[in-house]
Amino acid sequence: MFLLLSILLFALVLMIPAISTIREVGWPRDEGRLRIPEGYERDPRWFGRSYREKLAGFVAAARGDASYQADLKLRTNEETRWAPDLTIPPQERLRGIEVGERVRVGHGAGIRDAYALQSLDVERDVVARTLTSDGGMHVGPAVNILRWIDADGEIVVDAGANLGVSASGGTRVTLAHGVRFERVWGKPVTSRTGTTAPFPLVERKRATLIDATAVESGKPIIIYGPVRIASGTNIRSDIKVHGPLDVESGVRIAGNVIARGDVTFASDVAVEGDIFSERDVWLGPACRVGRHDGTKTVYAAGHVTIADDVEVEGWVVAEGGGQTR
Amino acid sequence: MGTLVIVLQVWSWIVVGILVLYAVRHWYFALNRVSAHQRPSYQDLLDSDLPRVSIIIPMRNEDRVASAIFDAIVASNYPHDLLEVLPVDDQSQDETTTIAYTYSQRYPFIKPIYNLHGERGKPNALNRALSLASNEIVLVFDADYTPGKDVIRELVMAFVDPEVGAVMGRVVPRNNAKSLLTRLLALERSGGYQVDQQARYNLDLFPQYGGTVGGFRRSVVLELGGFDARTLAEDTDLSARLFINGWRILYANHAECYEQVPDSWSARFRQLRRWAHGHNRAFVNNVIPLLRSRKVSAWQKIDASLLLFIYCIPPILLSGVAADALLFYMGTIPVVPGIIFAFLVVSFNAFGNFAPVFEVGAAELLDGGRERIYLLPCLLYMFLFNSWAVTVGAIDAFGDLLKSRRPPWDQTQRARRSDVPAA
Repeated sequence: MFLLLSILLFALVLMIPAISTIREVGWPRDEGRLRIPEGYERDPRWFGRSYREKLAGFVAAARGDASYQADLKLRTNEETRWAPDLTIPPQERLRGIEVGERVRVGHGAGIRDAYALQSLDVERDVVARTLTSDGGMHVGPAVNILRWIDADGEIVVDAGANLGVSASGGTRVTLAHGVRFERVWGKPVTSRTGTTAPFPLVERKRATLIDATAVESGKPIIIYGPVRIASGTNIRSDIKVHGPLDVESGVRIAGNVIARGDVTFASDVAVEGDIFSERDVWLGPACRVGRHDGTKTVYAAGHVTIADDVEVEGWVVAEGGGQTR
Repeated sequence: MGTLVIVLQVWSWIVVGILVLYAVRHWYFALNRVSAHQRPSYQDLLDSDLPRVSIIIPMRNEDRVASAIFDAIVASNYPHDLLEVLPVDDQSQDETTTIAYTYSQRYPFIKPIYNLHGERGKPNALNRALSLASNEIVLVFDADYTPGKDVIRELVMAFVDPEVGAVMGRVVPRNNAKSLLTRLLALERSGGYQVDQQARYNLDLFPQYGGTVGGFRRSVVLELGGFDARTLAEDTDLSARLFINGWRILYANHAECYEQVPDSWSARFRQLRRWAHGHNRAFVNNVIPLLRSRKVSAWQKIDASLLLFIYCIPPILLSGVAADALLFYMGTIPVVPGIIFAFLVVSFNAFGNFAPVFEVGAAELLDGGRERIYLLPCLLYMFLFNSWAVTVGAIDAFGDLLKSRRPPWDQTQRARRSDVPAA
């Protein structure tokens, strides 16, 4: 009797947690599968392409009508305005979408979205949510982008601008001094900052030195701890470092560079592959990443800092934010 | 009598110790995933120099799902001229052969391999395909998986890292709404991938290659002797051997892929039994070389050993429960008296038996699960079921080991055609 009673009591206690599940088991409210974006493709220009698609109908209707206006449903109803030559006066505050063949945004203006079919010129101190151009784009000094910019043509960004979460150009993207960014895509992404002094390299204890005399077997180089690559060294393989990597001027690396610590290039370093760092990346003056006929990526889980005359053929991703200097 | 009581009490303490060890591990992983720095993988690298890839799809009687995976691979954004798809038809008796042939006629990069007379089973199919694959990077998808457009590229990018021997993506159940079982399995999967695998990757421990939605370097696997046909968990076995030899396994949480989870308790029982069998075999085969390896750090050894040992836990736990029940009915339960014993029981249950519940809870937090959180207590009952299946599998494994038998291959039953949406 005692045995039976104890087992029954145990079973009863075991059932107590089930009380909280009764409703969800009997009348499921959250039984859908986890949504996977199966059609997702990593596209650095996704914002711009998606935006153009949404505005394609409006643009087709507006072209040829000098002052076409309509409400466009994006997230909310947006008042969308068209003019072939659209000039937004300085200090103006607008909440709609401004579309034109040629768009000029006067200094100090605060706008939501601007979309130019030919060219977009944004003067200094403008605050904008997004900028899109089917041609070229000029982003003036200290312009603040809240979301993203995209241009089919060349983008020139003046000093002190903040490019938001994404900046992408169909051709060259040139960044001046003090530009802040998170993701920049261009063919290539270049810098004109005027800072020509090489980035200083930290003297680290127990760093492994790779120099021009190192035997090159062509096999990947994998090293635990800090690594320094001496000036003039040519590396024909991938290199992975479990620690910080410091590269002196004039080094050439044919493969990928992967580091679990900071990656610092003093100046004039050329890497044909990708650069991946779990911390920060510093690209000194005249550094080159990638080839003209291909696409490569500089990725940092931390910050990316870019000096003068750097060229990256492809994508620069700075999860912790990037800056030119 | 006195000796028996002492033995039972000592065993009870050992079991509690083991369970607390796992509890700390699971709790730490959940904490790491929710609040610590997350280690990035390589999916953000856009590189125009993509490598050629062979994709192996082991298939046996897969006509319910075969078209969907072929369609998904064809729709992938990976350049078709860099792809070689090798469906291995393992003596199918349904329309699988015809479907694979039809697709191969339409897409020349799909090259079916027919195993007409050889030994069956996934490891044999993989070995056969490996010997015919022409590319260094090899991905594997089971036939009931449908990779999204970017998944192949995301998995392949892992191999820019010269230390990576294998990569594993995340699997997400597609048929959640089917039954309570599928919903609970979806919770388990979330905990296992979103938290457990990612935390082990974050902490540079032992992420596991799971045999599907993953890949490896062909030359490395061949050098290690290919897949072991004597084990029913060739993926765990390969993970251990890669690790022992200094290769790293990368977990790519972003490379998500739908799967069909078993929707009947009998299918789930067979699946767990097979996993337990294979996993325990992998433990026996690899634990000594793992502990001796000079290419693995101390923490990695501890984590890998605990992972390989994990399918031994349910039988140990059940034996602990049996020991405690015996002690209780013998009137000798106070291992320690009073309130301390109460704490012991609480820790035994909350932190021991159901430690993975922390991971599931953390995973649902990250995945945005809402009302499904209320199902967490059901995992308690699921755990009893799992323990039973795993214990049977463990007994199978050690029986086969003692008698040097090769276990028969048992394939998980696929969902009905109506459950498989077109890709």
